[in-house]
Amino acid sequence: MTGLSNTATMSFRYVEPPAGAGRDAAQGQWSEVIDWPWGARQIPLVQRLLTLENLPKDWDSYGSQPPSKAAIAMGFTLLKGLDDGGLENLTMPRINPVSGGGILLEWESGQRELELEVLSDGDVRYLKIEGGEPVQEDTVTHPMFSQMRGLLLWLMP
Amino acid sequence: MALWQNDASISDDEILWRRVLADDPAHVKKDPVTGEPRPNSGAFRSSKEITSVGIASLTTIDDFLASYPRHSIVGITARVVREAGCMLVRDRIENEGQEHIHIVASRTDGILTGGEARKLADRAQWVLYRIVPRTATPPNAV
Repeated sequence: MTGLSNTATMSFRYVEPPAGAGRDAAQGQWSEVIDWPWGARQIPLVQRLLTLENLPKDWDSYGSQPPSKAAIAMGFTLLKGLDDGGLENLTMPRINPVSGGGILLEWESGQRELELEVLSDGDVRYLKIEGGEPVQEDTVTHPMFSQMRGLLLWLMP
Repeated sequence: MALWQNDASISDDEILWRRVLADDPAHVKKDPVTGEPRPNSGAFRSSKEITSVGIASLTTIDDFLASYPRHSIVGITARVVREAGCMLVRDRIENEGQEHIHIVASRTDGILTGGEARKLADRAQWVLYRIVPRTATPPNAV
């Protein structure tokens, strides 16, 4: 299991009584709040990432290890970033393992496709495809989500 | 001296095989036009290793899949690899008694880019397509 914030955290919040509330409600109350960092549309992909981490060695028949912890961690970072403003309408990606300890996130939007291959060290190789033809690719080392966001916006009409 | 050198003794017409899992979305996608399953770029990608393929004329389907009863095979010609800008380099290490060929990309580390893997996948053809359920007893099990 990756030591990421993919588990629920619990905290307590003091809830003020509503204005004009009667005497019985005036004391306010402490409320237990559970913060789940994933939206409903992300949950199947979170489960998918956790499954990939447990692939057996040689899952690809060419001796590959399962996706590395660094790759899985970057996968979680990318998924979490999809909640960012402006990306809500983006479809969720397909997520698959890549030989050599990486993972691949793939989006399609009309004639455009975007592939983000997270390498075993957490770096990201991206590939933009338009009309079925590769049009641009490069590697982003130590990627920040803000860099990935620019790529994802390319997909949107 | 170049790190990698294309092996000109491998003819353009040589057919190269790659094992894939036909029921695994890591290797296969549905063709958007025909709806038929097709190898995707994941069938040829590796994040860390140089992609290895078998030489069809030097092996048999049974030998190539001897240890992999659930796998299928896709094939591409050496010409397709070279047209994608990649080199073919013979593997000097005998692997499972079979000679392998490495598909070496033009970049320094020789690892295929996503675009190169995509070009290979788009032109790959099924040599053997089969779905073997994970729970089934392998056909060659004793």
